[in-house]
Amino acid sequence: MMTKHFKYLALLFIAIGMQSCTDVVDLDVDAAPPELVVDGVISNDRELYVKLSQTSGFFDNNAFEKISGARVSIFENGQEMSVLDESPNEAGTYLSNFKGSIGNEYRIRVEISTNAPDQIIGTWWSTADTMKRVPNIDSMGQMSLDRNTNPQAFFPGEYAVMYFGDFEGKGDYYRLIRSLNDSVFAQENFFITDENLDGFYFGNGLFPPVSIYGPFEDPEAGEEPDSLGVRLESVTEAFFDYMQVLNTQVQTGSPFDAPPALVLGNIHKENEEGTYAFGYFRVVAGSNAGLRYEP
Amino acid sequence: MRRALLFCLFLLSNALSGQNDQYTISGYIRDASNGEELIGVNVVITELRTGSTTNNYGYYSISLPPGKYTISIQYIGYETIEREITLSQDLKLNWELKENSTQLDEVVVSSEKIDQNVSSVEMSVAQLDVKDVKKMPALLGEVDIIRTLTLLPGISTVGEASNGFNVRGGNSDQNLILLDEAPIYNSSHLFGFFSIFNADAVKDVKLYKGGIPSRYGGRLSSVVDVRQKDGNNREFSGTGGLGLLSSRLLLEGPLVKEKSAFMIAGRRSYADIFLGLSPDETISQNTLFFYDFNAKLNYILGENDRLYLSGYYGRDIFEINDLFGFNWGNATTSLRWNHLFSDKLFSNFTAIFSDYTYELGTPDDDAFNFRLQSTIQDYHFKNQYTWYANSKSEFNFGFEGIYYRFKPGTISGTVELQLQEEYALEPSLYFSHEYKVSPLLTIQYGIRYSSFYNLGKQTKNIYQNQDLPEINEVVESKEFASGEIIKAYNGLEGLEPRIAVNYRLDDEKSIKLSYNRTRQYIHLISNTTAPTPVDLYRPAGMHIKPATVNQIAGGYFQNFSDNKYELSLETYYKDFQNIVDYRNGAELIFNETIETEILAGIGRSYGLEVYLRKQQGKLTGWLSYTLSKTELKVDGVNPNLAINAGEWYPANYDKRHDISLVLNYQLTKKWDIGMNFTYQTGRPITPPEGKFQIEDYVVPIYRDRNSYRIPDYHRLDLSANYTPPKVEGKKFYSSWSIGIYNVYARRNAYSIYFEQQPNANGATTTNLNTQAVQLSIFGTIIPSVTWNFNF
Repeated sequence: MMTKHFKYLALLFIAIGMQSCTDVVDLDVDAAPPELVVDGVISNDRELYVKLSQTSGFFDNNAFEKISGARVSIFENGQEMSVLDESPNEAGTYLSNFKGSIGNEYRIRVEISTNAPDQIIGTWWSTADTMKRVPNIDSMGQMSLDRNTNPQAFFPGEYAVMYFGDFEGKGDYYRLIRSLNDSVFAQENFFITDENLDGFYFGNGLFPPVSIYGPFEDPEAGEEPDSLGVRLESVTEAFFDYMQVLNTQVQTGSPFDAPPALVLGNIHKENEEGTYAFGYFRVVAGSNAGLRYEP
Repeated sequence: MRRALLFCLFLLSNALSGQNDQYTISGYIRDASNGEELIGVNVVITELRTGSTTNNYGYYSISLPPGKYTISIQYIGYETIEREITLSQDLKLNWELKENSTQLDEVVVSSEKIDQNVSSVEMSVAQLDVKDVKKMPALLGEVDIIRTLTLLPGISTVGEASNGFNVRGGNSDQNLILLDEAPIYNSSHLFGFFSIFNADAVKDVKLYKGGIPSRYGGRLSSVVDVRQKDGNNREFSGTGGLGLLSSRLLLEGPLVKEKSAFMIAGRRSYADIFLGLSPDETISQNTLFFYDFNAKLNYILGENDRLYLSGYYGRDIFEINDLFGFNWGNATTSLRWNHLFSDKLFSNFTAIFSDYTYELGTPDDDAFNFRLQSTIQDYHFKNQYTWYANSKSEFNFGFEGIYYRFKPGTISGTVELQLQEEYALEPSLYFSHEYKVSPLLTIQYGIRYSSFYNLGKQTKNIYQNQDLPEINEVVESKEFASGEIIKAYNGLEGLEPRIAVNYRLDDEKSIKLSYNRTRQYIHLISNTTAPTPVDLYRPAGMHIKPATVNQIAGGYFQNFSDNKYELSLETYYKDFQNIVDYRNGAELIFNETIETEILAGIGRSYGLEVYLRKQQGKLTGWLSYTLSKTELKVDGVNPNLAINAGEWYPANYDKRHDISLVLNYQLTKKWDIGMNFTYQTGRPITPPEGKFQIEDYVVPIYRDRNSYRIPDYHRLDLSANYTPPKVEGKKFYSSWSIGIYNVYARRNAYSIYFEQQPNANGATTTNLNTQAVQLSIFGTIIPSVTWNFNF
């Protein structure tokens, strides 16, 4: 976080002080053969989905190749519970109405026998993860915030805040997914950990409610704000770590960026621990709330 | 080992025999104009073809049998003095050298030769004359010692905007940068654009990249020994300048004439003033500047004693819209006492305090405010001796103790938090003997023994696997009391042998060989490609091991045309152990269990360096070429998470070819012109070999670390200096420097980013297309003009 601030400042300095310039360039880099990508989620309250696609060359800006005709199934505590159906509207997207329950362990199996390059054909598993407890969002509110309020806002205006309490006991990781006028924000990366704040209630005494969006007067998406939806998800520590690494890697190359690294998730080939696919199968539990903006 | 010891004993006994029937000539050598003591002046006894050089305090000593001799005092840029002496008793001879006014006429003043390049046992040394540096073209006219060093063979930087520099394949934290003997932890201002050394206040700069003498220790790859001016002890005077980036002023003068002097210097940049002129509020409300102060006092207590007190304080200040601020900088103080126990035994006692701090946070008057501060401090004590035993032998020995205090993070403000402090002690001893075996053969051998103690008070985690700590494998938490040893590194691996040999083929040619082992106990913790000012040093301890380098180097040295030209060809091989690297996604700031984010690796670097220099005449300058390769290897927790799958990969600063041409031509007595040209192979970057999509993120796939190179770097800079002659009787005189940086406006690539294309304004879906973007720091010509004055 701090290094991000620093990077911003440093690059600002370079840009304005040193008359720097940027050019979009083409690199002569060989693309590696395609590999499997799994992007899926099971929750306690929403439709289960798994998207199968292939990696592509970095400079190839065509849509990612999808993988159709695979057999995808969900396992609860080691037992196969449901086979997902491939969506008729979206090739490579597999769906099921099966819902998970908190405390149980889930993993998926992906069997690919056709329609894919050799290295993708085979059986793949996600690591088994336990669905973790999630607190309720007690309430949402609209607050006028500025630099001298608590919570603090650098830009004064009307903000949406959220009241909720962390469970006692360390190791809870939460992700906030927000939507404005029913459109989910791009690249949501809003995580709360209880590493230093175990058991705290946000919105009580010293700890203010969590400011989650604002100012409404200056909408991020360029759209007039009407309603704000928020979903609080409990995630595993491993997924939290995965997103931390992912966020250091979505833009790299500046001297103030982290060195490039592989972003590896929790999908492996059957009986081959060392052979991984990209992507992540997430096991989450969610609670939801919303707020209508009043100017 | 035993044979080596026996050989050393043999040399020692040889060196010491028959020294009783000798007399000593000793004294100080100074600049006649200001009384400043001169470092590295040659004192040559013509008849014996032997001699000595002045040490860092301007002192020399030679012992010879009685007789008549011609003594010759030679220093580049100064008139040579020759005098006949009759040696029948110990002589104290102080000399004053006048700056050479005849240099323009290409007259070689001396019948003797200034041939240190060939005759000295030192190799892999880069030395800069600050006067020359001031004439060279400089970015925005800011005379920059570190940037100039990078034009010498074996020394490079990742790019314009990166802190520090790299010496022979070493990371930037492997350089011991000393300012009046105090270590400097960050040598850059403004993210690496400028160095912290105000050239006006600097007397001498010497960089060791190999054959590092045993009196230096604590860093793996180089020693940069910067000495500040002592101050004019004859009369009050000043130097200053107004430039585009900064202004500076230095004042010096006697406190007690010929006995005591002071020097104070200050510099401040004003880039922020230009920012304020911007019509764009998001730019104009930012603050950004640096300043530094240098100060020194010296006092000649008597014939045998001198005291020096020096200090440095510098800060970079960066504030954005009055919302968020950073500041960082070094502060050092050193107190030195030189004492002559006899004409032959020179000693120096030094006490040093050094501090590097960065701070970031919000303004204090914010309702919710915070300030994060991180600091490394060290307290040094050194006691060093030089014994000029006889004309053939010089011994150096002494000891050093460093007490470190690391404060990795303190948060104050609305919330108060503090990471545990760490403490460490680094004691060391050294000895070396330089012995002229014959007129043709000189050997310098020595040893340094260093050890390191990581000390309490601290609570340390004990992990299942102490060599590869995992955060979820803590077995117990162990308390260590204040001063209790947490981990000691005090075994035989702390022995650091240093050997150098010079064999003269004839008057103009020599070959030299050296070996040195160096050890480093503190590591810069950084997970960015180039270190930033918010990276901090952490000590070796229970989980982080000390790093070691073995280096061998060999070279051929030749001077031509009466020593007008110097040539050196050097080759080296270095092997690195326990270099610190970081696990993917490591969070390093404000992290209590930093050991779980770290991996240890190895490295190797080898290269060839060519250096041709002309120091005299109307045309001066040098040509340098470096051919080198530096690779690292880091095994991870498992092969998939190892860097580059555990295979060798090029270091970020690996540049195969590096050429610099630096020239200065004295056109007339008033005008000189200068040019720098530099060409370097592009540095390596890691290209994505593919990408994948998860949610609406498109993530690059990186496997082969540093397997691609950005385009080659080349740049030409020009300068012209106008120095009107001094008017008789007038103390004030001034000069102008005009410069052009990046003359042909090349957009040199600094880095290439890989990113998802930005969204159009108002878009509700994410743009999944990706692109590579090349960043050039300077897109255009950067002109500069500086006005300098003296009084």
